[in-house]
Amino acid sequence: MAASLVRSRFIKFPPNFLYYSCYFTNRRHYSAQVQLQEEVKEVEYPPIKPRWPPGQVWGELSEKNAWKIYDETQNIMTMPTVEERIKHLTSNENKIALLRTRINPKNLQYFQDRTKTNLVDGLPDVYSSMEKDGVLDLDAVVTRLRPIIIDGIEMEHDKLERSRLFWAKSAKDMIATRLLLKQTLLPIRGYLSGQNAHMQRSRFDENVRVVAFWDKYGEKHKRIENDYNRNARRRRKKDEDDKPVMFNEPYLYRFQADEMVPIQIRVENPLPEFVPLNNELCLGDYPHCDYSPIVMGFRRVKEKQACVPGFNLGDPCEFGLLSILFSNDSALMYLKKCYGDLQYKEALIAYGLMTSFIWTVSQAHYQGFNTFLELTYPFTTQTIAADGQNFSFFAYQLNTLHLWKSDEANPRRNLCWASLDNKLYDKVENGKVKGFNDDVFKTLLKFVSLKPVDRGVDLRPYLPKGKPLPVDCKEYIPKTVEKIIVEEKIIYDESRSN
Amino acid sequence: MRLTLRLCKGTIHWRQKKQWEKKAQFRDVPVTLSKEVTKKIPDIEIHDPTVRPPFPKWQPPVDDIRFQAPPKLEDHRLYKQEEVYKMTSQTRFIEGLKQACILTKSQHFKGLPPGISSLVGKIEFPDQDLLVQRAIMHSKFWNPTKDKLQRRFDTANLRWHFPREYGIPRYKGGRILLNNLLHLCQSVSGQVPSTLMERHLIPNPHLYTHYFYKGKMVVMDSLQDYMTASKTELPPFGDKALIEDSVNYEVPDMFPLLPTIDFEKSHLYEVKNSYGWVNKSSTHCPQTIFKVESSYWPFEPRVSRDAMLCLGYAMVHAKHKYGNDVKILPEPVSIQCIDVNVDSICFIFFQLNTLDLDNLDGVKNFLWYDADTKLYSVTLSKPWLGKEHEKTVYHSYESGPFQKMLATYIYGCPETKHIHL
Repeated sequence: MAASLVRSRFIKFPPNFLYYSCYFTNRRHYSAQVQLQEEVKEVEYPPIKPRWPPGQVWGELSEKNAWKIYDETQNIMTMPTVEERIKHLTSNENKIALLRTRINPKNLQYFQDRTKTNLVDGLPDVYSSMEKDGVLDLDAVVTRLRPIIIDGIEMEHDKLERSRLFWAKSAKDMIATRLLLKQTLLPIRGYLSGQNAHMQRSRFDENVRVVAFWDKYGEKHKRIENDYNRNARRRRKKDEDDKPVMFNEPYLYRFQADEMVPIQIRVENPLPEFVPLNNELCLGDYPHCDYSPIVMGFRRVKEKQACVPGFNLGDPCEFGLLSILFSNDSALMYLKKCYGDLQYKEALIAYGLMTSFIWTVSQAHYQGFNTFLELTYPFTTQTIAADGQNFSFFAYQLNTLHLWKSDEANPRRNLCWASLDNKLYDKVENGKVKGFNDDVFKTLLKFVSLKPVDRGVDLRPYLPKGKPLPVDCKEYIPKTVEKIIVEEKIIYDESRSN
Repeated sequence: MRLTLRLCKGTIHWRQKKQWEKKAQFRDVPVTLSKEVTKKIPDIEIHDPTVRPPFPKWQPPVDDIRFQAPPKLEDHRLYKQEEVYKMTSQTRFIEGLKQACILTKSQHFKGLPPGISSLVGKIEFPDQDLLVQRAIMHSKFWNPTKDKLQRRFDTANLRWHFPREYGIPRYKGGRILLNNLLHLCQSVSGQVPSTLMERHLIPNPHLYTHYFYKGKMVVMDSLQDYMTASKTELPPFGDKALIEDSVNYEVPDMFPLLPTIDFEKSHLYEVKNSYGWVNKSSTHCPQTIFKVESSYWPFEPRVSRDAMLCLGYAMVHAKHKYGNDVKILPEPVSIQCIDVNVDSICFIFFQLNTLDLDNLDGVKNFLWYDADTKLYSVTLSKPWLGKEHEKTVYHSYESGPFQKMLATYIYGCPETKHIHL
């Protein structure tokens, strides 16, 4: 009774409340007539949702998250263009982990874990079989090109006037290596383009941005109790009273890496696969290091996500042939100065590994694949890190994009071959190159002249068919002027009559 | 109400007020006395209370770089007492081609020289037009750089607000186009092997020379994008008969103005003759210069600037070959230049016959130019006219300029002798 009195203070009923109260209640009208219904023998229930979505092995994921991913894939499959898919995937404004190569030492293992990459010493068998098959007469090419390249190196060392370009000490090394590499690359590319059609149609770019994002499984958020952070602990205790502490379930954690590639060459068709997908290397073990990126010296930030493989949509040269990095990059040299030679080598491998991984992932995005839509064929690229004299060669094969699955659910691994410390020449004395190494020059030639192949598979299985590919376009700028004709409706005067 | 012209102009009063605030001059007149006061008391002194004694100059407490005075011009490493004219790649001639002809003492011809025009269209490779169009598209759309571009405006409708555009800047686009076209030129090495075997493509060559024009030194300092060099020189563009005829030719005059009017006057320079090399190399004959132009200049200032650069290269080579005091060359030196823009290519051919540039009599040098060569044309969007005009349209592609470029690239190779016949 007392409670009702208290309530009536706050809620003032109108004086004629009783009169209107008949309208507030549900009024029902009954009638005497009743329709007789037939008895239904078989009872119909709604279909039971299966526990796991069909089609895939989901591993350690919970049912809820598995259904989330399943719905997302179905949603993405409805989108007809690559632009829409990338826009949809990057619209998420959550924090992402930005991985920066060349800054911290001892990151190679972490990068291998995040990209699920297996590192192999040496180079794949494709290069050794190139000589045996007789695709390219290497010795003849070497004898023709060697004098030109030696001439270029000698010129660049002390014969050409470079005082205007090297005005700053900081910029000197980078510009000098760029010029030296141009002197070696341009004649090779010019010679091969005269022989092969694919090299003539290839595309050469300088200073292009390569960005990619991916989702990785396996990082758990654990709450570490610190004694010095009292306020946080107090706050946490309050929360703990209401709900029990839970470890976050490993779900999609997004990573992104951003690089400026100094020199890039692209071709129309994909390179041959180095190793078939059912090989032992593709299913082998890889080093684990499932820490938070904050532990490894990176940050989680709200940054604009992007996917750029060095070109915009519409370019017919969509597959990477070669990307060239500078091994005497200023950040790398600082790392070498601080931590020594051993860490520098590790960082160099990490640099080559990450850039080739990013490039292949972004290429796959442009063919319609995603983190949710698994690759149907492997993507391959080649990378060279050089300073004009020392060359280190990398070859990368991207086998899987389903990195958010546990290892048991998705046994595929990516592969990276690396061979370091290949000297093209010993030194330049009195304006002459000494100790020119033909073997290194041959591997450089093999890297540039590796022929792309028509693999015989559908390159864009997840994109709608029937639309013309960018390679098929025969005319971009018409030779004639298109006149714009504006059609207007002619309105007749209807009031007049004949 | 009647709509008069005055009404349509809008609020002038407000604008006048703003102008008054910004541009009006308020003069601080010094205090003076009237004549009546000065008559009464002739030796009167005025003490203005508002005027305060000047502050003493602040002295820095510590000797630091931040507080140091800016360095003097005389302390510069390259300072010389004599003032000279300086020419860089940014100098634009006010009279254009006429001025360049006076400075280089040359007779100019329009079109390609006869040796090159016979080569145009002779050598081709499959899908040539398609690959050139791809190069253009690469320089315009496919490169992923997104820099802030200049805001567009149209003289037809000055009030229209165009949205800000992000894309490839003009200089970078030109450089990409040049890289791609050069690669296509290099790919002819299957048909003409000596383009690759006997020539050398040098990135970023540097020209630094000087010459005397009417007793005053003109220093040339310019950085190019590419240059081809070879062991042998280019064959001359004009015959001996043409050189003998050039004695009768009169170089046009620009009387009230001096031809050196556009040069910058400077005290900072070096006295040296360098055209790219410090030490002697096996390939030391400059043949073709490649340059990227990023400005909105029309063809005439571009051609006149490039003619001066060609003169610089030819002059240094002639001095290395025949000595410093040579006047009339026993054999002419010829240099060609290809100037690439985002949408056009200029061709300049220069033949040095004399180094006696002070007077305009006697034998002249030769200058050929072909500059009205657009790769494509653009109709810009005019959204106020309707939906049909919303897009910028690229049209009327021309295959001629690239064929000319290929012909200039091949010129001078021994394989081309068969093509002439």
